Amino acid sequence: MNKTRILIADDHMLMRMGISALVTSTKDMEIVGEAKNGRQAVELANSLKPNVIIMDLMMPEMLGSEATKAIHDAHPEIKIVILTTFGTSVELAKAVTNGAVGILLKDKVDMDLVNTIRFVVEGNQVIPTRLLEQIEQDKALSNLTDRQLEVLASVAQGQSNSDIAKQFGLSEITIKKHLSAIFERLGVANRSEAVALALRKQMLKT
Amino acid sequence: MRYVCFLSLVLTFVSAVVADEQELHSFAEINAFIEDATPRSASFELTGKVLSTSPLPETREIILSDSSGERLQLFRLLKLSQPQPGDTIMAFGIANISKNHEPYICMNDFKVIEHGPAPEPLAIRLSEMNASAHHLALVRTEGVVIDTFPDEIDRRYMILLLKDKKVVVPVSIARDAFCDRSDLVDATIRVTGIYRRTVSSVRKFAWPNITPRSPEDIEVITPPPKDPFSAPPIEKRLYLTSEEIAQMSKRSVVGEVLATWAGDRAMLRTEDGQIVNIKLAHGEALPRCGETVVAAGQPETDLFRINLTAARWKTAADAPRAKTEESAASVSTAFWDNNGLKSINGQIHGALLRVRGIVRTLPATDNTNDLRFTLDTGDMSFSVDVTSNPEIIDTLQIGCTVQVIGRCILLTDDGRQNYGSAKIKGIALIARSPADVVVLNRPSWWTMTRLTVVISLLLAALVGVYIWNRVLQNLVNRRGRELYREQVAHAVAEFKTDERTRLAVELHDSLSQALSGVACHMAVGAEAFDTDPKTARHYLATARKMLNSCRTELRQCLFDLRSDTLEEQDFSTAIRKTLGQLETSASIAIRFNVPRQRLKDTTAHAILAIVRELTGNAIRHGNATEVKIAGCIEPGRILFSVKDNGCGFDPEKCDGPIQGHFGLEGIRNRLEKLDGTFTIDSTPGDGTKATISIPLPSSQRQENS
Repeated sequence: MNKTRILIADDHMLMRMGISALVTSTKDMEIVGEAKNGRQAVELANSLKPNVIIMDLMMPEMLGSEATKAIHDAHPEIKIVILTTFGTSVELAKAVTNGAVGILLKDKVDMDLVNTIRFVVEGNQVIPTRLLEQIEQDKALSNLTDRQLEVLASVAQGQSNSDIAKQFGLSEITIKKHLSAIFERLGVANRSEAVALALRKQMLKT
Repeated sequence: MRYVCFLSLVLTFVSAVVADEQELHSFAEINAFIEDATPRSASFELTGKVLSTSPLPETREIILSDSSGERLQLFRLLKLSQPQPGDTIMAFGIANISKNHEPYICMNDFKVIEHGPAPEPLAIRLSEMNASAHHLALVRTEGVVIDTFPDEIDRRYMILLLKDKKVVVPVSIARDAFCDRSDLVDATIRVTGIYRRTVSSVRKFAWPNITPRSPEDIEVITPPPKDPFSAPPIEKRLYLTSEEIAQMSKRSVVGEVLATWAGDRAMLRTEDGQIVNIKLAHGEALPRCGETVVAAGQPETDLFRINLTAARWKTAADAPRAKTEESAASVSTAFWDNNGLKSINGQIHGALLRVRGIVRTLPATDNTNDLRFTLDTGDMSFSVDVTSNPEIIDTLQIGCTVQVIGRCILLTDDGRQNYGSAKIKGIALIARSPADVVVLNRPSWWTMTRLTVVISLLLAALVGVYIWNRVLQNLVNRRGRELYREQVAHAVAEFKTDERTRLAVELHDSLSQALSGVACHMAVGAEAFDTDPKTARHYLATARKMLNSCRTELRQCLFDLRSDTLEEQDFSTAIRKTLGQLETSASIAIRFNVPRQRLKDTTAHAILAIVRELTGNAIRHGNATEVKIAGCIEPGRILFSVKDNGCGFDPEKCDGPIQGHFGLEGIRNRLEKLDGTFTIDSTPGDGTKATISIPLPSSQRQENS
């Protein structure tokens, strides 16, 4: 019987060691590779073609959500399970949108890892229901376009509409339109609320 | 000799001084004194005969005359008794000329020298009296009383106008003494009194008058006729001189009242068309227009017609029946062309004229005896008298267009000023009733000036509102920008202050993951406990080592937090503090030229951990006795190195995963997170140099530059 091939992508060594220990102790799974960042994860996924990837969200060089998209687009058959400290974040929602089929909390990794892997191999989705609602909410948040994120970042720096317009070479009216779209998407009433929300949800790189 | 000279000098001096106080002894002297009206006073001592005293004792007046006929008016002190006319007295007192050049002769004392009969008055005709010859003389004269009225200046007196031929002189009688003698009107009387030229201190220039002393001084020669209107009618003869007319006695006239004005004037038209102006006697009411009345008064003339003055009237018993419908003629009939100059047609007097014009002036005073307004036809101005119909004024406004139908009167002067050359000064219109003045058009409230003023005010208001609007807008915009800038800055600042929190979160996160790793190992160990104790032991041992690493890290963190290492403004001191944990005797040189503010908390913590690890390695494993730590800032990055003189090591070999998060793998891990680079230069026996570069993110550069 073929063992399930697992690729671990996590930047924290002790976590990798822990997962590795768990997987190795089973009879039906094996570790085929360890990636320390998102770029490595994509490379190893391409070369090793594992069955399941345990993907951490916050990794240098490429975020887990982006790596998920890249891998899922290229190899939709690979099941990607997200490893996360918190159950709610924009990145988590993004990853789920990009094709992740399971969510694993780091707190519960020793208890849930093996079962989660087995479930997703069978084709199930392992996403806790309460997370689903919040993911839906956060999906809306994550739907800001890159341009909109840039505009929002400029707003967070305290620039006025005319400054932002100059910066992007657009007219002030366009900027205003962007902003109203952003406010609507985020469900906020004004600039400061938008900035506060974005910072809180770590949507901006400061 | 010298004494004499001196004495005479003194005497002259004394007399000069004393001579200021004159002593007047004769009437001539006193009259000369009064003539020379310079303000001064002098004492007097006179002898004279009392001609008269004032009719009212409180006036204290005495008229004295001397043997040469000179006369004087004195005022006695109140306490003195009153001398009698006819007494010869010696009077003493002070003659005073006031600053206003008014004489006042005050008698302080008198002595009756002898009593005598009442002085004989001078019998003289009114026309022969003149002020220069007869001032203060006791006169007796005759005349007709043509009018009586109260003296407006001094209400204690009443005036009887006495006329003889053409001369009219007022006789002033004290009411308390004489009672009201208006019954004397039209009577011929003989009156004895003092003829004088000044009356009171208020009127400085006055008509001469006669003041009788007591009621006995007035004698009625001919009582007034029973019928005051029985006078003969006005002469129809033309071309009488004003002298001849003035000599005429009372005359009467019957006519229709065409107009009344000025409170005491009326215009009558006789049956045969003659127009007579009447000035009513005091107290007479005005007749009504249209009434036919008979009036009687003293004839006088302005050289244009005969008028009556001091007239009285009564309704005519037999009034002519059919009044001819009179239509108003156009005002142009009042004028005729005299080679281009407009002249007034004298025939117009008494005619009914119709004029249309604009009201230019309204009566300024409330003098109810003189209410006139000015009518401007464009060519000329007319005065319109509405004294008899004062309610007309209330309907008028300056600027109204009105049509006036009025009786025309010629305004003339009587030529007395011009020696017989009487002039027509103009024409005035008299409104007979309120229906005579019809307002055709009220002036529009809008005059050119008002219009321009209102428009400019509106414009100014508009401009003002616009400016205010802009100012407000600017204010609002500015405030809005300020506010939102504040808000954004606040949000960002709030987040920035959480930098420390972020560090804490990161540390906890790292610890949490480490513990998860430990949990995984323990889970596996527990699983394999029964079936594969060797594997179980291995995993549990690993778990233990991992826990130890966690505890070491925790200890370091707690130390840093407790000793405020991260608060240290001088980063070299912070490094030294944290290395103090190592408790080593090795010498450590630190030269870290990076200002603490330029580092984020997480970066600072990472640097401290890296330096701690490298130094610890050097001392523990490399047996180094000297460690040099140097750091500096370069554009865009922080560069630092840890150099030791230890035994060196093989970088490939020291990658012990057992060291877990720490050790070189741990350092690499941290640096990966920070996007930094790490190079180790080491040869066994030759010490080790580790070089680390950490980029400064652009935002940090921005906020700190």
